[in-house]
Amino acid sequence: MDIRIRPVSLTLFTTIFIALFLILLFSLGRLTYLEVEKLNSSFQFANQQQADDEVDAAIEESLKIISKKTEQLAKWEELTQQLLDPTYYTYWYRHRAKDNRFLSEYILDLALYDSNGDVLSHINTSLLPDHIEPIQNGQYIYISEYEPFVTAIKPIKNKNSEQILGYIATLNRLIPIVVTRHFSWVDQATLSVKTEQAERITTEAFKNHLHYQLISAPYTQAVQSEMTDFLLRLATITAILTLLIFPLAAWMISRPIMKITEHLNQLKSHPYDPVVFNNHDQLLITELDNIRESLNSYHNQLNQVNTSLDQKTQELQNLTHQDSLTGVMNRSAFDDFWQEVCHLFKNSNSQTCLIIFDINHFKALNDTYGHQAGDAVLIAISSLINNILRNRQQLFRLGGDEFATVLIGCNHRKAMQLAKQCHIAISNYPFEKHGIMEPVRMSIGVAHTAPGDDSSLDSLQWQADVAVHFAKRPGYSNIVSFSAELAKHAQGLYSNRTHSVVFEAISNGNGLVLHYQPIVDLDNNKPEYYEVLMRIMHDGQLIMPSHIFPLVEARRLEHDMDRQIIRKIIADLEARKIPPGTGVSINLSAPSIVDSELPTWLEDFVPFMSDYKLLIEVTETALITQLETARKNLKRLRSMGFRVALDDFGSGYSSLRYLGAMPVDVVKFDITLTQLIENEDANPILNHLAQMITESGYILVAEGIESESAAEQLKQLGFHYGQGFYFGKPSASLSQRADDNSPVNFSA
Amino acid sequence: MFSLVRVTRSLSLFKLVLASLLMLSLPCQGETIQQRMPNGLLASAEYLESANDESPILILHGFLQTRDFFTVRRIADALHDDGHTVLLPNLSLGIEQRSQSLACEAIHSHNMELDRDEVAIWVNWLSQRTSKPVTLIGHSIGSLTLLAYLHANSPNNNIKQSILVSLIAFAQGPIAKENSAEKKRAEKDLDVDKHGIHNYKLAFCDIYPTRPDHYLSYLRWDQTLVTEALLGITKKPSIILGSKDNRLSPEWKPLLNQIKANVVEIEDANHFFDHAHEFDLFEAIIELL
Repeated sequence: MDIRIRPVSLTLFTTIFIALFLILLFSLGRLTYLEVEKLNSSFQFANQQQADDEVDAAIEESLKIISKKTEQLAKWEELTQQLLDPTYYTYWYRHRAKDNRFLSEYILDLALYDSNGDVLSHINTSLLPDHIEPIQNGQYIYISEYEPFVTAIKPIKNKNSEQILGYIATLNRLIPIVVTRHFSWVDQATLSVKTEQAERITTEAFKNHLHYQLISAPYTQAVQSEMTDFLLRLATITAILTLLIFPLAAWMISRPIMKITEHLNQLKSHPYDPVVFNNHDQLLITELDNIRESLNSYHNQLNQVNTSLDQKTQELQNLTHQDSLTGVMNRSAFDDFWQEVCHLFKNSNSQTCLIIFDINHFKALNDTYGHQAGDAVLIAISSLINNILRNRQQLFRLGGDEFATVLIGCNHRKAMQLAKQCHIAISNYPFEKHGIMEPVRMSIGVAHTAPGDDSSLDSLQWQADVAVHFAKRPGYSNIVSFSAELAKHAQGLYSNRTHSVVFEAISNGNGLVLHYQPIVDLDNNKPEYYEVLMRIMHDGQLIMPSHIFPLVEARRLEHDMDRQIIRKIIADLEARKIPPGTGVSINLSAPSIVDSELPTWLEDFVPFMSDYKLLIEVTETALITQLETARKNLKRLRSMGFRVALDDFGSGYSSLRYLGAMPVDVVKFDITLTQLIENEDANPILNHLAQMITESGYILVAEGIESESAAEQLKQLGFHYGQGFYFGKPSASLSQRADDNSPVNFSA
Repeated sequence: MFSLVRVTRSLSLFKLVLASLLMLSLPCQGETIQQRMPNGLLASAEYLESANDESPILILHGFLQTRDFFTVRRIADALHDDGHTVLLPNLSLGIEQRSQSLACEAIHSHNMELDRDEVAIWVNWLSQRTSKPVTLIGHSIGSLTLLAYLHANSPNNNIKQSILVSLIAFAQGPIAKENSAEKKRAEKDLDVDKHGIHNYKLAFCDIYPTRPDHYLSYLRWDQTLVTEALLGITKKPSIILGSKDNRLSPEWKPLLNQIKANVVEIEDANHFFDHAHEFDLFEAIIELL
């Protein structure tokens, strides 16, 4: 499992590091302190042990001294003298007993007892008892309220017989003897005995009553002092080092890193600013300085690359957004610009005007004077309009003969004024120098947003389209500004409803309905194939091609529409909605015909070629601009198995010319031609035209057959197939089988 | 007949040999003899027996001392080493089996008569033991005690001869504390409290607790009594004195000369014949024996 640790800031990291370091330091200090304390305790314990042993030894030694002293006294011959003749005992006790060479200053009193333990003579001032038990021979400790005394009792024996003549008892002060001992651990001055009541106790018990304090052992004290000093020094050095190192580290490491971070942030916030290196910003750590220099270098290089890329991109954008013929912005640029305008001025009070320029009868001019003349007209017109536009106002070529410009912050009056200037300039331009011998006129549609109406920007293009549409109409001025009244007239054609439904159908196929109209063999009246006719169903109503195509052409949606229809036809073929053995005739728009990718689109039809005849219908207008490309595409399609039909033959300017140049299999006579069958005067033309085309090897199809007589007559004229309401209206469903002999009846 | 033998330093070679003898000789391990004294107490004596046929020698210690006092001990050991049988008694001085010198401040229950009688017992014991007449050697008051014994028991066949070293009398010389006032006090005490203990001054003791009769028994033996005793004894004792014995009264030597006592004076020796003079003393004793 990949665990991603959330990165922390340098400040937090440094703080945590310092905190951990301090905790570690404190722990180490605390540990050392505890160890020293433990050492001190060990010393203390050892000292106490030594002191206890020392006191024990001192007491034992003192008791031995007392014992020995009493024994020495017991050997004093004057005692024997007193025991044998106690006549002068009292005198001896008072004058001699405490003043002899055997006594010591700590012997407070002595007394002599006979062999029965009775004192030789009772003396009031004696501190010793008048009677002792002989078994008390030895010594014991007696603690008074003030100090401990040791009473030592020793027998006095006959030198020869060892017979006990009597006893001597001495009363000894213990502490003065004890303190004469040498102490290394015990403070002699503090030796004291604490007792609550006077009592006679054993030596062991006496030790419990003895209290004292330790003298500070020099070695221990020295070690403790050294350790304490060491700890203090360590703490001081650590504190100083901490105070020095952390700011230094912060200054040397954190600061450079923070500077780099700040530097990076600066680079981030100002990515296109060149980095200028200042000496005073030099970082103290080589690696960090190298990193920053590398970053700067990288950034500068990146900036250069970016600049270069921007330039290239700009150039490419210019190329992709520029119309190669006129040098003005193209359709793509217009779409981008329009999106930008919508984004910027959607909620703005600023007024926006859209002006669309359309050259009247440009196709005819092209046909008449050739493409070079047509191109010159386009260049001249774009130049004229560009000259009139101000710096920030751009001219776009939307396609063919249609130009547009967007005026930001411009009111209706100024837009109309600009349109008029353009119209006058074009009207006055001497197109003769380009070989144009007739006046070239412009139709200009103007639309503008209403102040405070956010939604009007969305429909501004539609409004301008409507305006230019009406500008082309007879009875309207060449410059038309969109108005609500115009919108009413345009309802159904350019209504917003149609607008969105058509887009939806073309984009997603929603509401797109295919109707099939049979094209029958005039010999047997059986459907040979079906022409596919596009409809759009919306809210139970059909939107007819007359409403769809102007919008599609205005928006240059021919490609999308054709591809959507192709997908739909393939789906119907797969669903076997079309009777096998028949065929499908598909109308393709002019942009699709001249699209080099067309054969690729139509490859999906190849699997159906065994069961169906597949025809591609091309109108004359589609062949006008890029004749050679169209010819190549059609040849390719024919090689793939498609047949090509020239649709609406006879409705254009140079139908025969196209027929000669194009790889066409089928010629569909336009309804305007076939209806000539009703006109007897025109019959010979139709007759000869049909005959000429038939003899040229083309298959003729007559459109618009509405009666049996017309069908018969056309058959007589050499037409092979017919199409019209007589044989069947376009319908969404085909219920008739292909081999049905009866005339095809299509339900509308 | 008066004869003063002056021992000179001309015998230095002899001294050297004697010194070597003394130093090399081991401490004598004598027999301790105990005798019940007239006062009922046991007293002891060290008996250093020798195989020769010379007169056994009884050596008596000085006032309140024992036989271990260095002057008598050295004489005894030297004589024993020289082949003499020696008896070293300790006067009991009122103490059973006394072996320690007695302090001045101790209660003194002894007197001159008791001491004299104890000497008699030891003389008898020694003469009986050796079946020979005894030679007496005393030091200081010990010499006086022997003189008292000789005085009380003269003539005496048990005694061969006597040598009284540093013979001194009570109430004599600059050291002696007793005086006539003390004597009078004792005499007074004797009348008032004969059995009581009183502090007197005697010899070198400032405090000498004893009964007045005991005190007076010693005090009687002053220079006068001593000279009388010396004159009364049939076997005249030899007297050895140090020329620098400062315990003696100035008139003592002239007095002895006056009664024609046999006095040997050792030049530069003091009362105790310490240091090198112990050899002179021994030499003199050997000469006298």
